[in-house]
Amino acid sequence: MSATPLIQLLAAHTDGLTGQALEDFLLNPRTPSFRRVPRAEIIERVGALYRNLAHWLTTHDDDAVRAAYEDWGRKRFTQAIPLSEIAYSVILAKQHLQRRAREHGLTDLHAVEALLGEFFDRALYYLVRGYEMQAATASLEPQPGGPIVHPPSPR
Amino acid sequence: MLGQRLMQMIKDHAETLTKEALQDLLTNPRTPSFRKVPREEMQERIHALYANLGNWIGDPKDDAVRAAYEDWGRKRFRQGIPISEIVYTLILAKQHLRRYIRDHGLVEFSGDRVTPDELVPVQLHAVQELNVMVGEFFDRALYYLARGYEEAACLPRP
Repeated sequence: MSATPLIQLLAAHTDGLTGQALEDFLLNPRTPSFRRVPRAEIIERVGALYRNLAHWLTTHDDDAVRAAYEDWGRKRFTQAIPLSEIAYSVILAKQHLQRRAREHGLTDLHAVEALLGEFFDRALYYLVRGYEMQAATASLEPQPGGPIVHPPSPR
Repeated sequence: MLGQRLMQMIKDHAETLTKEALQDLLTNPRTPSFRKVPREEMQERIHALYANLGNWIGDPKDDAVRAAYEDWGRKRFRQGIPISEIVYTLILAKQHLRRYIRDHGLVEFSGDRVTPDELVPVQLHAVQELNVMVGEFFDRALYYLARGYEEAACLPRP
């Protein structure tokens, strides 16, 4: 399957998908910390995620994915959003897109899964890296109730 | 019936998959910290991952996944493995499985080597369904792993 149907789907449905994902982030019991992030910022971020995916499907430019998601990870660390919630927000965004793809007849699930899986895996990895790098820069020690941070030194 | 076949297919090949994923893990530049984890421990952990997936396909309950991956996350935090490397480990394990399904899954379902064009819809559907379930399982595992790691990070250390 070529990426074209997915790119077309994204072009036509990014706003709708962003709205659905936003609603989910704000209500889902696994992403409670997103309720204190400004709504406009989440809309911008989720919209960018779908646009980044459309761009990546065309170019397969890994550098752009790395730059965008490391930056996102760094920012979420400074906002003290737990890493598990950030990871889950990316998973939710992917699930909304998968559902939309099925609803619109992109029936080659194997190919859709492969394309989406590759992009979202990269995004997640770089996001976690960015978060981790920011934690190292901040030199914070783990604090009860605080965001996740670097592991202890090996003993 | 279909779930059982899918489950059995993964279980039957867990050993080969484990070997390939372990080799990748120990040489991949994105997972250097795993070189300090005992090889036997890694082997056991990756094998368990594929076995867990096989069991979950047969009986998709969340509790077992949560318990296994939160525990894994806690343990890796205590071993000083960066969370990005753990996440990448899961990604590698998933990639190896997907590659396996792509290369061998069609054979398993048809009994002979065929191309996707030659598959009857029910066979193709089974392979597609397996891929969807694999994606879902790894998403859950990743979330719980991050939760476990986070939990360990928040505990006061001696």
